[in-house]
Amino acid sequence: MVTQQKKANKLASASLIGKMMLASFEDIKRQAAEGKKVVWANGLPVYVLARAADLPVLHAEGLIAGLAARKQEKPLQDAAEAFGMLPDACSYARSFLGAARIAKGDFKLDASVNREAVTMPKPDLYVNSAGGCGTGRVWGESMAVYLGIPVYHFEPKFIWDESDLEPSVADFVEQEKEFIQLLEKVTGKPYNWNRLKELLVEVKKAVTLRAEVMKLCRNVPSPASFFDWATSIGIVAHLIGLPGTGDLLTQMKKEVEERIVKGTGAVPVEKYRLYWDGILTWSNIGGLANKFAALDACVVVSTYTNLVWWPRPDMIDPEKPLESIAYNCCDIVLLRNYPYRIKALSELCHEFSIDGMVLSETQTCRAFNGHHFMLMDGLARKLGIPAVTINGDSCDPRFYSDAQVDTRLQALLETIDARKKAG
Amino acid sequence: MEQIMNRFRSVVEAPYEKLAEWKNAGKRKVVACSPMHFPEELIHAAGMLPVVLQETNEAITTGFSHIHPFYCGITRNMVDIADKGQLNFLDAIFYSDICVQARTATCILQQTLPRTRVEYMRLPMSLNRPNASEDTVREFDKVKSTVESIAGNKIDDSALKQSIRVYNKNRSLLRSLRDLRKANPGLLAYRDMLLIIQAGMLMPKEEHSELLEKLLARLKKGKAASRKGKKIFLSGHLCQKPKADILDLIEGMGGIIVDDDLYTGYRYYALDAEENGSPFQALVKRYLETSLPVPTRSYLPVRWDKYLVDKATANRAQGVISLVVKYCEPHLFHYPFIKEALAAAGIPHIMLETEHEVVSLEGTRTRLQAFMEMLG
Repeated sequence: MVTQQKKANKLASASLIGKMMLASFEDIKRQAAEGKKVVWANGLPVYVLARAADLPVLHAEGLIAGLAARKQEKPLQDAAEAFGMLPDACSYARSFLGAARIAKGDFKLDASVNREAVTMPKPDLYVNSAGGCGTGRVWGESMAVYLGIPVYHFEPKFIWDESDLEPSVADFVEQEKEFIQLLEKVTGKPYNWNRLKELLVEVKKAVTLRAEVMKLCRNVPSPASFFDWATSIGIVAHLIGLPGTGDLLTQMKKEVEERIVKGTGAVPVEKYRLYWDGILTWSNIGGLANKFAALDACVVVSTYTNLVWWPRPDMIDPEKPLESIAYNCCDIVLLRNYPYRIKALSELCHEFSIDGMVLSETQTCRAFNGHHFMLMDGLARKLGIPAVTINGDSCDPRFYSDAQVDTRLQALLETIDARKKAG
Repeated sequence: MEQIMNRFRSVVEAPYEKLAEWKNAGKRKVVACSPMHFPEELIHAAGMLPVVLQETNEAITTGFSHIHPFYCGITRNMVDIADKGQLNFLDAIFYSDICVQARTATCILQQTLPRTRVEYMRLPMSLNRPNASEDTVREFDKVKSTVESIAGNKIDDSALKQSIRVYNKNRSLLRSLRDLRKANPGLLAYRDMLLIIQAGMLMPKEEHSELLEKLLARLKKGKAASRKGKKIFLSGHLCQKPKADILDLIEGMGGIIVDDDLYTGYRYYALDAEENGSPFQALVKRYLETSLPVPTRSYLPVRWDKYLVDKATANRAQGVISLVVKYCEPHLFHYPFIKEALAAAGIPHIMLETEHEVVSLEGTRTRLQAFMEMLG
């Protein structure tokens, strides 16, 4: 059992995201009450297209992750399971279906539940853009059928070899055009292309700045950790294109730069620098952050924060908004085969001076975990980096075991120590 | 008849061992494809033997060094048997993008079978998109070129037409068998019905059809004891065959399986490809056909839940048994709607979760018993 005395030194600025997210959900409710049509979405932020059409967008993962972090996810999962969803299904999807049932008034909430937190306005349109995840499609289809609303499924293709990327991008652009036609039908108005270009200017600023700030974690000690980037993932996910994200990132950059000057790390003592692959166990984000800190380990970089959300800021050209979005939805690591992943992860591990890897096995996600054993093996051979897996789930706390995580982390750090000693 | 059934059983038991022996005896190249959607006729027309990957009964062991336990049975099994070398004899493996687990399996197989060509087919999943047909043509064309390069010869239209005829004949014979059995369920246990279909996925279609014709002739002549029991419609198992134990349990308790919507059942032989016109376009059209529910695709004009209610009603089924493969997400998301639709239609229904490893059937037995009693 790990005695947790040291705690994570969280970025103060990253902690502001929680309030921004909640304010955004309230704003969706306000706009719905004023008669605006509402969009629900899962997956990658192609829903920024809907924001340009002046539609409020609720991002599934943004809502559910936050609820899980605040331990408020259970009513949604209960609602889904009462409908017949089995607990093995993706917990993001289950929870969002539960949210749909609550929004529709089909599930009676217990008096003890915080209704405000779990009740969102019913959508008029659903968009699925789960890049790299076929489950996103059946999820989106279920939502649309349940709610009786139109749905658009974005289908970025898996890049089996490099020659597949450009055709996939070209096809994705066509899909965006089809989606825009649907938006015009839903809103009854011509699409606001100028607004989309304006949004892309803000998106480019935000994602470029975020990439710069994350790169500062190459510093030893790392001024921020994966837990800070994960907590603030909303900046490039649910909140993308909304006001305030640029300011928050500027604040984060300032705070990180100040820490570098002072030599302040994200953990009190940084003895180990780690890579995290897989989704975060949102229901225990705070606990995990402190657990690593107590072990003198800083999780410096991750696939989820560095390689999934807007990974191609270089391809964002506000004058070519559809292509910009297409590259950022098609050229993500989840849509890439093993050789690419090994290369991408090796480069990150090298860049950020990584000692070991933690592979988070999200028990209800079969999209993110598939390559884990290959990665463990491949990275161990290529870079001599040891790895462990830890079990959990994105937002179903029933799958998480603290004791298992403790044991595995201890084994990882002992292995790192032994290898360092052996030279 | 026993001789014919023994031939089918021999193909299905230890299938990969048998196929390796067959190939090594100087027969044709063998190319495997994942269940659902893959146009086997392309492989056949190139002069190679197409086989549809089947789950074996062995326990997963070394495969767990490549894949997690929370993936579906057939995915874990394929990774496991590949790791054990049982698929080394294959000249190529084609997987199609039916779900994220199939995608994972493909990536793993590509690494664990470095001497085998492993390819991934990405067909459009939204069948109502304006370019769905064009996209399918493009992908099938790619597959065709790859198949030709493996075979070392081109596939011409007349060869492809002939392959379509061979496959259509086989499907027609299976439909005849189904109809014969429906009229007299005592003719064939359901485990044998599915065994016959599965065997066809693992042997030359020509031989399978020949055996089917002989079997049908015998069955038409013979007199089977008429069976009385509770009429059951069997649903589920999107790409793997249900274990015979469960089928025996259902029938042993007085259930008469009148029809199914399983992949290794009706869905495999329900639809033919057109024999007139371009054979390549015929295969494209068959893929885009949506008269059967396709749970791994979107914008379905035929929802699975409605289809099931209609089929159960048409077959006068007294109950529906949904076999849900553990961790099969396409099914998990459809299931609540199926449950709701059957309840609204007043059709009794039970869901049984199935797993690769059958540890104990006692719990299933108890639940099935209660269900059968409920049917009155």
